[in-house]
Amino acid sequence: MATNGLEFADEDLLKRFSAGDVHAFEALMTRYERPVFNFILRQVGERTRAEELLQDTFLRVIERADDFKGESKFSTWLYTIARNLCIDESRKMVFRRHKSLDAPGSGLDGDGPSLLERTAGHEAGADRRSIARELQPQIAAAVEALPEEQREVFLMRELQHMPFKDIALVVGVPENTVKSRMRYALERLQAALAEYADYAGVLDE
Amino acid sequence: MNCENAKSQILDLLGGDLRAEDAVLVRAHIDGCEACLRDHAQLAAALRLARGMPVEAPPSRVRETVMARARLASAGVQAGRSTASEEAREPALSRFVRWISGFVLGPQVAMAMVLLLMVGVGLFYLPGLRRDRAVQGGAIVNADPGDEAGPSATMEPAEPLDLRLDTRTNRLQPAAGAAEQVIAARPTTAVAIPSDEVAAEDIQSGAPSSATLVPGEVTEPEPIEQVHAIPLEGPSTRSRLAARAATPEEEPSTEEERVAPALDERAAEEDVALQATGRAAEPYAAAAPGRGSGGASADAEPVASRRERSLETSAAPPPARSALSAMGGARASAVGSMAAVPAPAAPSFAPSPPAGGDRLRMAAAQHATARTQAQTGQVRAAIASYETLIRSHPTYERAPEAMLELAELHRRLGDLSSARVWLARAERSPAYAGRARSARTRLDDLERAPAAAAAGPASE
Repeated sequence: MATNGLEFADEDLLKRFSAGDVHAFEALMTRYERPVFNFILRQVGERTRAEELLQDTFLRVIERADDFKGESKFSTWLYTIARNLCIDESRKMVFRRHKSLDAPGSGLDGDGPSLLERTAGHEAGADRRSIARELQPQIAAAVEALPEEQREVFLMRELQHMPFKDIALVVGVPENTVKSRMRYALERLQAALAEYADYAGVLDE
Repeated sequence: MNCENAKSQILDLLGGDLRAEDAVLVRAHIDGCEACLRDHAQLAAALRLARGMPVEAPPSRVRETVMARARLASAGVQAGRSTASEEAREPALSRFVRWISGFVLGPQVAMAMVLLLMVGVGLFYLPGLRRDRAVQGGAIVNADPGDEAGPSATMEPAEPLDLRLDTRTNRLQPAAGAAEQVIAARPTTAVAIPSDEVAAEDIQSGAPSSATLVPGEVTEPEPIEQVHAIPLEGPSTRSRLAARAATPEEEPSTEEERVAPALDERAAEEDVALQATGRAAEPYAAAAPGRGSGGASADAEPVASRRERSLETSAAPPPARSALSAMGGARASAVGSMAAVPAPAAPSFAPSPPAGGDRLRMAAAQHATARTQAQTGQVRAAIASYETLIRSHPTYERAPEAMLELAELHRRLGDLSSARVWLARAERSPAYAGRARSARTRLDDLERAPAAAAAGPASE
C-alpha cells in the first residue's frame, strides 16, 4: 500500500517500512534527508564526505529498522546514528576540516575584505538577496568553527528544531548542559558575526 | 519567577517551546528585569543571525541509492512473508517431509522415502496379501480381523463372477454355471494346503454347501452344519466369533447358534456381499474370506493377479454397495467399479497439484526472460525482472542462481553494494554458497584494484 507519510508519525512510518512498505521509508527520507544532510555537512565541513555519510546514515536505518523498538523518538535515533558517524569521521579527518577553515576567503580569519567593506560600494538599493548570498557562507563557516559539542547542539536545534530534552538524549548529557552549550554557541556566533549583525535583518526578509 | 528560572527558559521562549501560561510568566519577568531583557535581546539577535545559515540540498543520487536499498530490503520482507504464508498453507505431511529433509536429504528424496515407507506399511496391512501368506504357510487366520478392509475384501471375487439379477429380490444372484465352476475348483484348494487337512476336508465337504452360489438355495438360510463346516481353526477368527456371540441380543445355546447370528450380523455389515451373493452366501463369505467362496476360487488363479486385484479392491471404500446394486448383474462391471472407486488413502499419495508446477514453470520463464534481457544489454530491465522473479517465487529452486546473476548485473552497473547484498543472499543457499563466495572475492579484488592503483603513485 502506498504511503505518502503525511498522516503518520515517524515511528509508525518506520514500522510500516519494517513490514515491507517502501513508501513509508521514502516519506521518512523526505522528512529528514535535508536537515540531516546539513547537520552532517556542518559537522564534517566537506560536501562529498557529507553525502557519503548521509547515505551511510540512512543505510544504517534500513539495516537496523527491525531493531528500533519505539522506546525513543525516531528523530533522536536517527540523529544518534548520524552523530556517531560524524564523530568517527572527525576522528579520522580532523585535520581536513581545520585546513578548510584556514583556507583563504573563509571570512573568519580577518584576512580579506569584510562584508561591510565589500558592500560599502553598493548603492543604497543594493540587492538584498545578493547580500544574503554573501552572508550565508560566513554564517556557515562560523557555525563550522564552533566547538564540536556546541556545534552539534546548535545544529540539531536550528535545523531540526529538536526540543532540548531530545538533544540531551542524543548527546547523552543533561538538558541544562545542552541549553548552556546552545547559549555558548549563540554567543560565539554573535561574536564571530558581529560585523554582520546589521545585516541579520536582510536574512529575515 | 527569579532570574535563574527565567534565564533557563529564555531559549525555550525564543524557540516557541513554552506552554502559553509559562511563556506569559517568563515574558513578565523579562519585561521587569533589565539583565534578563538584555540577555533575551542578545540571544534573539544571535538566533536571527544564525538562522541565515544556508541549508543545502543533498544530491539526488544519495536518495536513489538509499531507496534502491530500501526497495531491496522491502522485497526481502515481502518474500519472507510470502514464504511464511506458503509454509502456513503447507499441509502437515509436507511440513513433516521438509523437516525430515532438512537433515541430510533433498526434499524429493525424502518424499520418495516416505512414500516407499508408507506403501510398504500399506502393503503389509493389505488383507489380501496377508491371506496369501497365511495360505502359503498353511495356517488359517482371519484375514480381516478388524473389518478394516470393509466389504470389498470379503467378497473379493477370484474369478469374474457370473451374476444375474433376481427380479424378485432385486439382488444379484450367481448363475449356476459359475457356482459349478467354483465348486469344481475346491479340491485343488485342498491339495494346495496339505498342512491343514481338516480345513481342506471341511472345504471339500463344505463345497456344496458353499453353494451359497447355487440359485436354489439362495432364498433359504444356510444350514448351521454347513456353517460349522467352514474352517475356523484360525485363533483370531475364533475369538472374533466368540466376541460377536457375546452380544446381549440373544444367548445362543450351541456353538452353531452362536456362530450363525454372528455371521448374520457380520453379513448385515457386508453390504456388497449381501447384494452380490444373496443372504445364504453371507456366512461363507464372511467367516472364511481366505478359504470361502472368494478365497477358494482365488486359489485357482495366479497369485500375482490376485495380488494386483487385492491392491485394487482393498483400496475401494465401503460405498461400493451402491455401485454394485446399480449394475444389475454385470460381473465385469462389478470388479471394474470396485477398482474405479477412489482409494481412501489416495490423497496422501496424490501427486502435487498442478498449481505448483505452473508456478515453477512461470518462475523458469521469468528467469529465461531476465537472462535474455541481460544478454541483450537491457541491464536495468533485467534487474527488474530478476527482482520480480525472486520476490514472486521465493521457493524457486534456482532463485540463488538468479541472485548470483542479479549481483553480476549490479556489478556491471558499478553498484557494488547491491551486488554484495544479492551475493550474501545467494550465499545462504548451500548449493550456491561456493559460487557466491567466489563472486564476492572477485568483487573484493575489483574494489581493491582501483584503490591500489590510486595509492600506487602516491607511495612511490
